Amino acid sequence: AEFRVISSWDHTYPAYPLLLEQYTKNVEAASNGDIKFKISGPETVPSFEQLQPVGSGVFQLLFTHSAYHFGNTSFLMAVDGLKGDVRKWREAGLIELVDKHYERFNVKVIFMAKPPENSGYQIILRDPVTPAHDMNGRKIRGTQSYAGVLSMLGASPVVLPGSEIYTALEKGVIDGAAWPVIGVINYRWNEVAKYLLRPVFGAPVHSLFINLDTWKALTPAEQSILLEEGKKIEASWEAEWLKLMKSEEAALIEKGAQITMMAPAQAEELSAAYEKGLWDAALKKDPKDVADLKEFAKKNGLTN
Amino acid sequence: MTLIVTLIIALVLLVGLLLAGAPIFVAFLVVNVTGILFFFGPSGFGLFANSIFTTANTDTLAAVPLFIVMGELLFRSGAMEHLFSSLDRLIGRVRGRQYILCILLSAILGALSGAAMAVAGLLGRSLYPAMIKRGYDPKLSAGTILGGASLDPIIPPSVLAVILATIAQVSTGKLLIAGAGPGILLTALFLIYVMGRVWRNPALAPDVSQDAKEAKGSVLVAILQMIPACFIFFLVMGLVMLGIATPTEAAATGVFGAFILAYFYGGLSLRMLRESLYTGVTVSSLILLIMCCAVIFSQLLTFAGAPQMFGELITAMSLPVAVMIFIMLALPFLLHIFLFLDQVALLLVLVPIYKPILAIYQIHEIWFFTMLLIVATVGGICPPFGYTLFAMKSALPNTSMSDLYKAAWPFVWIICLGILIVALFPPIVTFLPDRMGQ
Amino acid sequence: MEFLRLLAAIHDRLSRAGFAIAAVVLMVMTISYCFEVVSRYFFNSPTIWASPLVSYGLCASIFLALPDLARQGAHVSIDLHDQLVSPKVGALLLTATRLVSGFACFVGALITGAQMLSEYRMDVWTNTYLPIPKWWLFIVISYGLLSACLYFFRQAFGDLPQPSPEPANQESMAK
Ligand code: NA
Ligand code: NA
Repeated sequence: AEFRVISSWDHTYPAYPLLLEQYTKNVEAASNGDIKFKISGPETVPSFEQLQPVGSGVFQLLFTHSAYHFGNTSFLMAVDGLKGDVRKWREAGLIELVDKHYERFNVKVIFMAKPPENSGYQIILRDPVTPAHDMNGRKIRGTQSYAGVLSMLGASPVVLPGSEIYTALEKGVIDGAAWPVIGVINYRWNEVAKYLLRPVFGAPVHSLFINLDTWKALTPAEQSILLEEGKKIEASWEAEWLKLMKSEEAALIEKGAQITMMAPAQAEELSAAYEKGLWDAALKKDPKDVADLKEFAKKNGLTN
Repeated sequence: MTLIVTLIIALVLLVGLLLAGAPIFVAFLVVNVTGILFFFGPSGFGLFANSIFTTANTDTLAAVPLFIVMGELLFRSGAMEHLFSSLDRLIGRVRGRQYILCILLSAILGALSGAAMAVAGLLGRSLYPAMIKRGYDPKLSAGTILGGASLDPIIPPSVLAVILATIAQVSTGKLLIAGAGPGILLTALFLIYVMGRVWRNPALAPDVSQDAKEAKGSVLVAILQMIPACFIFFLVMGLVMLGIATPTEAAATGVFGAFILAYFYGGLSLRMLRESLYTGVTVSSLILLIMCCAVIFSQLLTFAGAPQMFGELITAMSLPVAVMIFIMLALPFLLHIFLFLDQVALLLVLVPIYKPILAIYQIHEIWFFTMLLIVATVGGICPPFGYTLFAMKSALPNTSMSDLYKAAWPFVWIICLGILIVALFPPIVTFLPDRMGQ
Repeated sequence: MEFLRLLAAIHDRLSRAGFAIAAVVLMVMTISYCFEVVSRYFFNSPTIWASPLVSYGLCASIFLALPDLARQGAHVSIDLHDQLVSPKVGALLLTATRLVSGFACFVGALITGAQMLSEYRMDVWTNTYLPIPKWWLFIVISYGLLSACLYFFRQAFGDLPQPSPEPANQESMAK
C-alpha cells in the first residue's frame, strides 16, 4: 500500500528528514517495501488546516505539532507540558487517552517523538537582553504553545506563519521569534536576529497520526510494523534532538550568533510559566477532556 | 504524462468557461471542484472549504481593499486638482509639456493609489479633453495616459503586487518596494519617448506660449502643495521601508492619511467616504473572490506532483537561464493576447508552475516576480483586452477602440524595453528591497 | 407570483444590507490597524487582537458583499460576445453561463455549508490569539455563495424585478 502523508513542515525543518523521512524509510524496509509513503508539505495543505483532510481520508497520515491544530483541540498541547519520557507515558496509558480523544477527528496516534525536557524551544532576538532593555513590550512571534512564557516575559505574542518570520525580523515588525531549538539556521533567521535567548524551555512533541479507517483496514502485521518502528524512533529521538541542538547552537555561534540570558528571576519561573500557559490555554478550549487529562497526569506523576 | 493531460484538460476547461463569459471566480470554482473530485472524491471538499476560508482570512490580503479605499478618498477629495496645478506650475515652458505633465502626474498618482483602472478613467475624463482642446495630438495623448496609468500597479502601493506576493509566497513589503525602481525607469523612458517624438515632429504639440499665460502662483506655493501627498506616501511606503508597520497596517494608516488630507482639501463628506468604502468593497471582493476559489488550484498542482514533473522536464531541457526567463515572461503576454486571459487569473495559474523552476535556476524571486508584475501590467493596456483600455474607452466614448489600440502599442513596446533593461540590470529592482529596514 | 416578488424584494434588501455592512467592516479594519500601529510604535504595547480581527473582517466583507455584486452582475468576466458571436447565440451563451454560475455557486455553498456544520459539531476555533468559532465565518461564506447562486438563477430565468438604482454604487462601478 502507498500512504499519502501530509507534513506541517517542509524539508527545511530538520525533523522532516531526520524524524519523518527516517521513519518512513524504516517502515518501508521493515515491510520489505510493501508499505510506501508519499509526503506532501504545507504548500499542498497549509499547516493550520491539516487535521481535517487526514480525518476525511484525503491523506492517510499527518506529521505535525499540536499547536498547529489548536483550533480543533488543545488536548495534545497540554500533553506537551507533561513530565517524563514517552516510554513512561506509554506505560501509564497516555497513548490510549490521546487516541480516545482524537477518535472524534477520526485519527489515532502512531508515534509521539519528544525531546528531553527543557530543551525544546528558544526565542531568538534582534537585540540582547540588558538591564535597560528588558523583554517588556517586545513583539515576539509564537503560537499558543508559547503563551505562558511570553506573558511571563512581558512580551506581546504575534502569530505569523513561518514563511513571514525572516522578513518580519529583518524589518523589525517583530523583535524576536519563538521556535524549536532546531531549524533556525536552516531558515537563516540568524542573519536577522543573532541573539539566542537562554535558557531554553519546553519539549514539543512531534506526532504522527493515521486516519482511523485506514488503520482499521490494515492487517495486524502492518499495524505492528507501523507501531514498532514508531516506538523505536521515539526512543532514539531524545538523543538525536540533543545532538541536533548542540551542533546547531555551535554552528550559529560560529556564524556570529550570541547568547543572551533572561533575568535570573524569569529563568527561575520559566518552566512553571511554560506549563501554566499550556494548561490555561488548553483548559479554555477543551475544559472537560483537558481536566480529565490533568487528573490522569497527577495520578501517574506526570505533572506537579 | 497523465499529469500533463490532466493539466491540459483543466486549462482547456478554464479557458473555455472564461471565453463563454463565465465570471472568473466561477471558472475557477468549476475547474477546482472537478479537480478535487478527480483526485480525492467528495472527501476532498473539506480541503476546498478550508482553502477558501484560509485565503479569505489572509491578513496581508486586507491591503487590497485598503489600498483601493485610500486611492478613492484621495481622488474624490480634490487632491488630484492640487497636484495637477502644482505640477503645472513647476514644469517649465518646454514643447509638449502637457505630455510630460501627464506622465509625471500619473507617476505621482501611482504612488498614491493601488489600482490602475481609477487612474486611467480619471485622466481620460479630465486631462484628455484639455489636451485635445489645446491642440495636442489625440493618439499620443491617449497613449501617454494609457502608459501613465500602467505605471500605477508598478509604483508602490500596488494591489497587483500584494496579490502576486500572496500567490508567490514572497514578502509583500519587498515586492511592493521592488516596484519603485522600475516605476521610475519606465517614467523616464516614457518622458524620453514623448520628448523624442515631439522633437522630431513639433506638430504633435502646440506652441507653449499659450500655456505660459496660465501658469500662476509662486513656485514655493506649488512645492508646498505637494507636501501633503508626500506625507501620504510616507504613511504607506515610508512606514513599510522603516519597518514600523507591515504593508497591511501601512495600508490602513494610508487610508487614515487620505482621510485627513481630504479634510485638509475640504473634500471630505459622508457621501464621499461612503462611496470610497463602497468602491473598495466592490473592487476588492471581486478580486479576492477569484483568489479564494483559485488558490486550491496550486495546492492540487503540488499534490499531483507538478513541481517534480516540471523540475525533471526543465532539467532535461537544460535551457540557458536567460532563455527560460524569456519564455516564462513571454508566456503570460502571449496567453493574454491570444486567449484574452485576465492578469490575476494568469498569475494564479502560472505562478505555482513557475515557483519550482525559479528554485532550480536559483533565480532571484523578487527580481523575477517584479518583471512578471510589469508583464501583467502590460496586459492592462495591451490590445485586444485590457482593463485599463476599457476604463479609458468608457471615459472617452467618442474615441474608437482601434484608435486606442494604435495609441497603446508604442507604450506596450516601451514597457517591454523597460523589462529588458530591468532584466539586464537587476539592481534596479533589488537595490531597495535588499536594503529594507537597515 | 406576488409572493415570489416579495421574496425577491427581501432577497435584494438583504444583499444591499450585507454590502453596507461590508463597508462598515472595512472601516473597522482600518481603525483597528491604525490603533495597532500607534499603540505599538508610540506606547510600546502591541495589541494581540488587531491582526486576527482584520483577517476575520476581510473574510466577512468579501462574502457579505458578494450577493449584491451578483445582483448587479458586477463580476469580472471576459465579455466578447458582441465581437465574436451573433446576438442570438450571445443571449443563449449568457443564459448558459448564468446557469453554470448558479450551479457552481450552489456547489460552493454546499461545500462550505457542510464544512460549517462539521466545524460547529466539532467546536473548531480559529488558531489565533483572538480565537472565535470557525463556523461563524463559514456561515458568512456559505450565505454569500448561496445568495449569489440565487441571483444567477434569477437572472438566468429572467424574472428579476428591476433593481432599484443606487446612485452611489452605480457611480463607483463606472470607475
Ligand atoms: Na501605485
Ligand atoms: Na498601483
